[in-house]
Amino acid sequence: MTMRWFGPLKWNVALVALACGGLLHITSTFLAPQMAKSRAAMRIAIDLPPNKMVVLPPASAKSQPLPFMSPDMRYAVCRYDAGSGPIAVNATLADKGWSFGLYTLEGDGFYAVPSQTTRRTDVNLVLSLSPPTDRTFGFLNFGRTPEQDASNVTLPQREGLVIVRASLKGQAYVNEIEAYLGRATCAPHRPG
Amino acid sequence: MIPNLLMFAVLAVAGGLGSSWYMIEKGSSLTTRAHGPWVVWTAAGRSDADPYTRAHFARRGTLPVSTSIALTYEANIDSDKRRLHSACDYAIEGEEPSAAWWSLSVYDEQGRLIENAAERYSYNSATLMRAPGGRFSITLARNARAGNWLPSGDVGRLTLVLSIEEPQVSGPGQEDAGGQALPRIRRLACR
Repeated sequence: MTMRWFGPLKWNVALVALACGGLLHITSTFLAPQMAKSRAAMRIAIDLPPNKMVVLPPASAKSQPLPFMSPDMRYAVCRYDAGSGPIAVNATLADKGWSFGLYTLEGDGFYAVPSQTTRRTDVNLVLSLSPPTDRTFGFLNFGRTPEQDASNVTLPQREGLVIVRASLKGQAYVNEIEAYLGRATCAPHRPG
Repeated sequence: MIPNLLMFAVLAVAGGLGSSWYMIEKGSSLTTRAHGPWVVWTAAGRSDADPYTRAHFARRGTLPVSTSIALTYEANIDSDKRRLHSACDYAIEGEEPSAAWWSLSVYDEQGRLIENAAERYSYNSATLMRAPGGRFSITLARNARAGNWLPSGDVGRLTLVLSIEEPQVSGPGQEDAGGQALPRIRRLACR
């Protein structure tokens, strides 16, 4: 019986099938992020004004913008749009467990800063679509080029999200944490 | 003819799509590390994340913290490999993670926080009650318990998430676990 079924099988068909399976595997894996029903970054971004930092309400069973959002964190979020020029972002990571992250609207993280255990960390960044050029000495590759400046971040896409996460040590700290998050800014960059 | 067509369909469609689904949903040793019931996606939230990791988090609709900052472990099963369920009570116990900050939260299968009158969804390194010596125990149960009680409601399957920020690495080969033992999840009783 087994031989009757497997006897006529052709190995070249099996090889072609394996190759097609491999192609399907690769294609479906790369398409999966685009086919996701609602991308996390899009879901948050849709309600946010561009280039403005917004402190989100605490996550709870009644208010949870994203799945698996930590109830032990408070979040400040900015939907940046660098289409009209660079965006300046400032935030203070005030305590252990705080972090700063940049995401594309596809939800890919591309820049992250942790807090320091012993001291506050100030994050001051300029987000732009292309690396700034040094008009004076850049062509001579003289001295420190702007590309080496850690405060400049070249964006992979025009739009995305800035997320500041603040660890919530307890209800007694809520006002202090909200004050820190409320002072975080995200606005068009004004050089000078 | 028919056996060849069947073989083609199984290998090409089921094999190709099925293996892709498995690698995205469950991961493999290329993309995840398991420590008992706890699983971490090692490239979550990173710019160099592989396509499986990117697809996994895109499908779940989450924005993961970079693993260069925090390791986020998930558990859907207990330490005896039985599915976590709100019909059962569990003890989550062990040594406190040696980290700048950590938290343990419980969600339903879809990642929603579980409604409860106490509005208690998690414990963290600042809110947990510990025994002398740093050991701790959290009871995951539907009804209130003394000590560290994490309500599990009546939602069916559960997911625990343990986030460890800036884990202290103690030796080669232990980087992904932060060089420490993760808490054990012990089933106490079921209704």
